[in-house]
Amino acid sequence: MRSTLASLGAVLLLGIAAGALLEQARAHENLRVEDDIKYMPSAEFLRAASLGHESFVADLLWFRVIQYYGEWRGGDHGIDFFENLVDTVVELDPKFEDAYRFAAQVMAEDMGAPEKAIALLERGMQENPKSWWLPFEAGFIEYTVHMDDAKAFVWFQKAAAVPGASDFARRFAAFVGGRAGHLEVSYELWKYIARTTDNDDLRQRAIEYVGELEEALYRGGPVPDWTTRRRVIQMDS
Amino acid sequence: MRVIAIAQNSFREAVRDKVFVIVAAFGLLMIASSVIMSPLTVGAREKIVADMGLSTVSMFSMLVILFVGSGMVYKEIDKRTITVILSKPVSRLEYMLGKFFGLAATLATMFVAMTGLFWCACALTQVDFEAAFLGSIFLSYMEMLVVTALMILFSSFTTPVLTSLFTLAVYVVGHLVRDLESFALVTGSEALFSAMRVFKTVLPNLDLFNIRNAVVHGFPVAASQILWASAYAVVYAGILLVLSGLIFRRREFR
Amino acid sequence: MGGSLSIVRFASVDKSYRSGFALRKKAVLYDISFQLEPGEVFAYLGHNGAGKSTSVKAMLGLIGIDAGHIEIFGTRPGSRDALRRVGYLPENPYFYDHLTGEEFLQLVAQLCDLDRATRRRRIDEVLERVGMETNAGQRLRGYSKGMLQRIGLAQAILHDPELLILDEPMGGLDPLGRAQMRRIIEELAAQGKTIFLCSHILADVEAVADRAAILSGGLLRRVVDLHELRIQGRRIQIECRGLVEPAIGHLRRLGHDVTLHGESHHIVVHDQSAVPEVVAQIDGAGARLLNVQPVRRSLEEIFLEEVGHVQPGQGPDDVRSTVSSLLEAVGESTPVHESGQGSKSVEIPS
Repeated sequence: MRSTLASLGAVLLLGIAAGALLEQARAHENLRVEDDIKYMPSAEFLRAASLGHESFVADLLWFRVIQYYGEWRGGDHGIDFFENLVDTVVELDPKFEDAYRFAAQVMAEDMGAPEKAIALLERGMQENPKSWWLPFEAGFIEYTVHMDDAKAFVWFQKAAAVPGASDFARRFAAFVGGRAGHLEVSYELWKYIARTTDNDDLRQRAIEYVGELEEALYRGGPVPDWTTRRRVIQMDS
Repeated sequence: MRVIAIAQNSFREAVRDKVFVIVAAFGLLMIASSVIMSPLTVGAREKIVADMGLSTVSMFSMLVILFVGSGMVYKEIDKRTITVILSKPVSRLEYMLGKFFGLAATLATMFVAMTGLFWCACALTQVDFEAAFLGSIFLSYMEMLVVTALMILFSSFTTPVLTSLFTLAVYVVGHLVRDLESFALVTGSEALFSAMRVFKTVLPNLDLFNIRNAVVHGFPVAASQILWASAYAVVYAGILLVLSGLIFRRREFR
Repeated sequence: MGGSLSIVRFASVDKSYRSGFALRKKAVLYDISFQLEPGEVFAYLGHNGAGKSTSVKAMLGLIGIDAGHIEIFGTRPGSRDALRRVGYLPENPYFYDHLTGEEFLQLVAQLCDLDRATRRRRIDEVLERVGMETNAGQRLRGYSKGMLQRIGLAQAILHDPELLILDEPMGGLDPLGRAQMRRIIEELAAQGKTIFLCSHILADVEAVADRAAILSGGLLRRVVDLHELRIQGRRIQIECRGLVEPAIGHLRRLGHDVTLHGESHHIVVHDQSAVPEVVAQIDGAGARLLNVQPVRRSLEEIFLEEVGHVQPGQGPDDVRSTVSSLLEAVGESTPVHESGQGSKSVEIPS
């Protein structure tokens, strides 16, 4: 009985000491290792370290990238490392199409760096020549962000030329070629977004817009007034 | 046949081993988790489910080899059960082969269970279970046979801890084999380059068994690739097993 | 003697172990030579650590030897032919404890290349023989020491081998178990099997063995023929007091040993039938009869003679130095033992 009490007493004392020391240690902490992102090893190292599981490691890293983006959207920190991270991911798994696409969208719209986005997509296209998504995405960015119809048309055509390409590519090529009016473009674009986005809010809005545009185009309904606000649907000038 | 008798006994022992059960359970858990994680994947769902399935099977069988297999021979020597076996008309090589096949059967069981669960995970997450997946899993199994043979070789003369360490070391180097030459090129040393070429041939080229990256992205795999790699695995494992029989023959059992 | 018909032949076998960091060589067997003849029960007697188990393992090819030659069934130890004809019961047997007795015997039977029908038949036979029919379905994990010994014997005789090597088969058995084991050994011997028995229990050896080799400190001290010993056991010792000369001389001339122990005389008579005559002599000489009892030079006596001054665990090197220093003290020169076939001469270099 006595020795048990003594042991418990010792545990208590040591526990208090540990608590105090913890505070001190934290106070004197100069180097923190919380930014795993900052000190992420290079792609070459990761490839060697994954011992044949590069694709899986790329996935794990991808989860981290998504998390990083989400944190930035939530205002936790900047987005400076996004490019590097994505770089590492596609180095590990050059055929990771979804990574190129998502990253390009973020770069074009959130980071305001559409040239980088397109450069990334081009890199992706080199590794994935059979992909129609990637040139399509490039065209999309050229059209919506750069507002460059000619370049967009080239991309959409390239996308359409890929065997097995979806109709979207052809239709967009057509629209941008100027064979249809602006509302149809808008309609197709919003349909595209509704179908492909993983963002629930955006999907809801897109579905609404699609509905409104359908009314306007095929049932003689009113032209929605928001269509005049975004440059994306203006065809002239 | 004598080898089969020993193999059956080893299989029974391994499958009832608590460590095996725990490792296998965790492996199954990992595959199951891919179902839970699929909403978070932001479009890359097929890839992630496939990657998890294919990689988990390989990784966890490595764990089984390292934690369950490495002690198999040592335990028998330590507990003296081996003297009873070796006092029967069984050769040392037959004993080693029995141990090898027993563990191979244990791994096969794990592979089948995990593949089954992987198939279910694909069904639940609406991912297509490609035939090529089976090809990749089969090659992973061949790789594990080579690693098992390596482990048997080391266990013929050393303790479980060292057996695991050596096996792991060769496994790691076996995956970096292609980089060895480029490393030598960088240093610019002729001698080193030649040495690396020798190593490249002698060490198990384990990257041959990795077709996951292609399979996960839907690229087709030629049957010839699988066949040649498998043949290499069989021959390489055979060499290791014969060597282990030789080494084991010289062992004394006090 | 023996020659090519011997089942096992050891010729000048040496074995040392290296141990410790400095890898010191420790001699465990030195110049061991003996022959095991067909059909005999040969006992290997000695302290724990004397080298009995080492000899057995060398016989089975489980360890190698440094010098000398071992032949078993005319081939090298560990060869498939030899092992097929040997059954081995190790000391303190430990088997796969996740198996049941039945499963274990099945495994052993498969290793001995018995076909399915033979397996079934033999397993049933041996289980009955060792008295384990009812416990065969239990896992070995739950077996008592006695049950393990019995299943151990079962696996040793399963393939009906010609030679049985039993290392401390009575170890840890209760009196009933020992009696049963003894009976089984006797039965096996009666069947014509050759039995090599390692033991440090003299009583057991005395009961079943034909010959006994006394091993001490890695040296084979002596081989005793137990049949002869039993014959000698018919001697009677008569103790009396007050015996004087004419009677003493007369008794001696009749062939009896007469020795003086303190105040009384001990007369050793070699045949029971001569006792009444001797008693009459003593009576007629007016001496007083104190005691009449059978006297036997027991195996224990011989054993202690050979081994008494050696500590368990001492190796041949230690033995040699001990013995030579003892002899020096007594002032004797190096002795040479010759007793029966198959023994060796102990040459102790000075």
